[in-house]
Amino acid sequence: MIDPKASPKLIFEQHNPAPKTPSLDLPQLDVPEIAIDSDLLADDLLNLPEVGQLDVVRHYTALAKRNFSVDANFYPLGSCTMKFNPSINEAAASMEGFTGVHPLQDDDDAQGMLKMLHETQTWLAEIAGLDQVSLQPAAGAHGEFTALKVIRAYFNDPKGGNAPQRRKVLAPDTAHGTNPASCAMCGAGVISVPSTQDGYVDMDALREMVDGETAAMMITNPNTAGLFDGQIGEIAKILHDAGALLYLDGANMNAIVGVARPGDFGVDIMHYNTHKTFSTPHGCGGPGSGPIAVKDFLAPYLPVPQVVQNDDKTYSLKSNLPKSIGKVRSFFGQVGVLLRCWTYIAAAGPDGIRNIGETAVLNANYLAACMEDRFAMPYFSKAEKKYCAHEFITVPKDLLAKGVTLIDIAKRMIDYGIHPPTMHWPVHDCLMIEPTETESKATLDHFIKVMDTIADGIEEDAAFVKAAPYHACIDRLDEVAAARSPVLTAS
Amino acid sequence: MDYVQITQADRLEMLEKIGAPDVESFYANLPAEYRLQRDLCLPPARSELQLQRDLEAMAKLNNTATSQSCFLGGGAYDHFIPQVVNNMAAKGEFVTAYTPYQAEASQGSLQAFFEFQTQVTRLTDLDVSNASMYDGATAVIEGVLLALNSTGKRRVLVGETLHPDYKTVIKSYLHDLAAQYVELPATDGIISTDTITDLIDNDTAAVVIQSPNVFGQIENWTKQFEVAHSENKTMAIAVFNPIACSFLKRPGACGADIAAGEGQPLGIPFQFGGPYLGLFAARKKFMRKMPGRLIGQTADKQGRRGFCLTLQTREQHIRGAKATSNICTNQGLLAVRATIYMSAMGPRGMQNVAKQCYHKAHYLADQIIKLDGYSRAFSEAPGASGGGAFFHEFVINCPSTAQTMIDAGKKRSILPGLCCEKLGIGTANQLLIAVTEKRTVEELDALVSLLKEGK
Ligand SMILES: Cc1ncc(COP(=O)(O)O)c(C=O)c1O
Repeated sequence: MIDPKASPKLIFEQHNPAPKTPSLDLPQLDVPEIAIDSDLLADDLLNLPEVGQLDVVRHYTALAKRNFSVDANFYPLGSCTMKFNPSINEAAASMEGFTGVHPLQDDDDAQGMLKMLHETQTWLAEIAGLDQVSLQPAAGAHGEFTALKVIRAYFNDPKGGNAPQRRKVLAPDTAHGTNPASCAMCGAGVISVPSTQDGYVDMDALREMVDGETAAMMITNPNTAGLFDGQIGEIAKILHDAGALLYLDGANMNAIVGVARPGDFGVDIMHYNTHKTFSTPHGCGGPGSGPIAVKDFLAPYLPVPQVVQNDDKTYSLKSNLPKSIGKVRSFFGQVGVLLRCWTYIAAAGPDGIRNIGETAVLNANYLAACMEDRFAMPYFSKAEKKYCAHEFITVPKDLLAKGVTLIDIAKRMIDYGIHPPTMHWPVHDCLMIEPTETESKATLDHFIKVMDTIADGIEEDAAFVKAAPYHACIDRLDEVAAARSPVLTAS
Repeated sequence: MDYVQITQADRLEMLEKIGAPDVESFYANLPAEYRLQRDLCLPPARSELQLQRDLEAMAKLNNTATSQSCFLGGGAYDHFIPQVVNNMAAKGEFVTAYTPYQAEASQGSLQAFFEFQTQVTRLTDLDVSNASMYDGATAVIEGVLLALNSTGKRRVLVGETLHPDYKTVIKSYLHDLAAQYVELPATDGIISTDTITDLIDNDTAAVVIQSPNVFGQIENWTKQFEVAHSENKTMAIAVFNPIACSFLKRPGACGADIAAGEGQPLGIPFQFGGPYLGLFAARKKFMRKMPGRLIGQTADKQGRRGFCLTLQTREQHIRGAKATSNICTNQGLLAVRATIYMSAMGPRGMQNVAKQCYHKAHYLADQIIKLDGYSRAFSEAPGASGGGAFFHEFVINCPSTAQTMIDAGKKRSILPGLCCEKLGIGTANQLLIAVTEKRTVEELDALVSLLKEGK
């Protein structure tokens, strides 16, 4: 019996050596062979399979079919902004005029690239309401790390912040895990600031925690519970009065682009996640890009090289910045990703960018309003006019009381072709739902119906839901066993 | 063009359902003084046709390396990219998925990464690998941080022959930590074992050596790592090139504890330096200290083989400040490219690439040193693995400046190499020349003529 749900053979199980030529041949060597010292050589051929090209194509086509993706599915993964990736983005990123530029070519050979990067920099500064941008960080977490380095360099500089004792960083207890992890990688201590019942920063606690050793506070606004923290101005004031800086984790910028600018509400330094806000696709986990934007007084510490425009309108890379923190990766940055970001902002223009922010927020509030009867929400209430930003969380207590777990609900969503939301963060037992602005009302309405149907199903037969998914490419996987005796490679 | 599909009528209907008069109400928490009272200062919206025109105009301002005879290396190499890599990796199901948090909805990425991890362990002759780091340089620093954490020691010995960007990245990362960066000076283009013996001590967490190194020279990892291991617990970190691994000795076989390298040669275009792909592999005993996503094999309720993220308690979303790394978003799609590349080329295809690089580079070097005034910067190998051998990149002393040659190449669409002074690895008269399988003998001879006439 052949099991229709059996996973495709591993590529290693498809080894099929062709008689003479390797899978993919090159032209004949056109220079004489030169002897090589056999001591330098590997003892054997690489232990990799040889597979005909048709089977290679079938293999990856089969794997692709076993993925949920924005192109194929509604993917409301909270905090990740899984929006549509316009086709023109991919076309731009694969133009030979861009893919073919070597990272160390002379500046005059790369004027188009440098122009694109300079414009991206300028636009990101404008959207942030900040002065200078570094495009170097490879992702959001890398941007956090880079920014914390910049802050440290500023305080270490006798002519800058001149307060080397400022090493503590504050972050709300709802912060994303990368915030404390980035602090640790910079050797900075991180202190967790409690949140109130309503999901906002506890201001009394904050006032007590800020002191002469505080370098900065990292804040996400709208926060990770999907709420605008209106105390942001006051938070900035508390920090600034104490000589510390305010850092914005820009993961949630999609809620405010074109509507409010971090620099205008007191932020000194922030990172973007272009793969969220600016539609550079997520690629099974990456690549992203995590540019940082800063106020002028922090600019001398940014990583090198930077793109500058010269008096004659040409562009060059500048590396001689004596106070720079150095480099956080090789070469310039995730240029192919930044090109998609350029394309997206260029398409949208000022009205489009504002519409993105507003519609992202409208879509989230619509879903929340239509779902709150069955999916309890700690912070949203239509009746009390308590609204969310671009995402919201539900803690579906009533459903969980019927004997299902959050995972059961998530896996049941897969049966309906919807990618489950973010789970158990920022509070236990929550689903964090972020629809993004690119979804149509029809898709949102369909989602609401699906969630209703799932709720009905739980009320009728919780045991059935507990064994979901039924219609995925595979039944529920045993993740506990995977961690107990890890198998990380094929045998 | 903002790709929003909500119409004005939808908007009104939705607002009514929510019971809010306007979208403004959702922003009520944000005090008016913090709201932008003007339009953003950005160029006006563009149609897709206009965008296409503007992109093409911008692209034309670039004089790409791939449209010329390219001898540029220095960490990014002009290898052949099979079309199947472009086609398969462009599938929307790969491009627009995210981290495979939900295993049953992500078996495609998970299996691809599981196969990728396996391929990387076989390239490096090590036991475990992850689903990618940002790039070669950050893969190396993650290896260094692993060594610091796992040994509790504080010094890191780094070969002078490591790529200058990688060295800067290590220095930047270590700057605010209780760790000391020590450079191992090179002798005749490689790191001698005596130098390591002189500088190593019992506080040394790791010895980091790149091979082929920044000059293209093949280092003697086996002997170097023997010295590294003469101190208790000190770790050997090999910075490797994946193409070289299909031909030359592999990190694990030479005694490396960790191998870290740049995966760009595996089917990834130049793109002005990124996105590239950090490769990372280690011995099994470091599995629980690994940075990044790990994919494990498991089974569903019916016993069918499947895959999921595993050992997540190492990671930032569970461990916060105690995580092994802060990495979250990685280079997934580039790992997909690399795994397709390796599947498509096969072991003999990859070895053929490496061999052709080797023979063509040596042919070229031999022709160049026959020219008046040109010589190799480092001496030839006197005997077995004594150093001096190179793989597909080499440094040449020129009779005039490297920039003269580079400028002369512009008229003939030849990029003769990188100026070693500009790269920070040598003098203004030295040229770093890389040769891949893509260069024909005619192109090699044309470069020789250029150097002959151009001086
Ligand atoms: C709130 C928040 N901060 C930081 C990050 C880290 O960003 P990245 O995954 O791009 O490194 C994320 C996303 O995953 C996030 O949601």
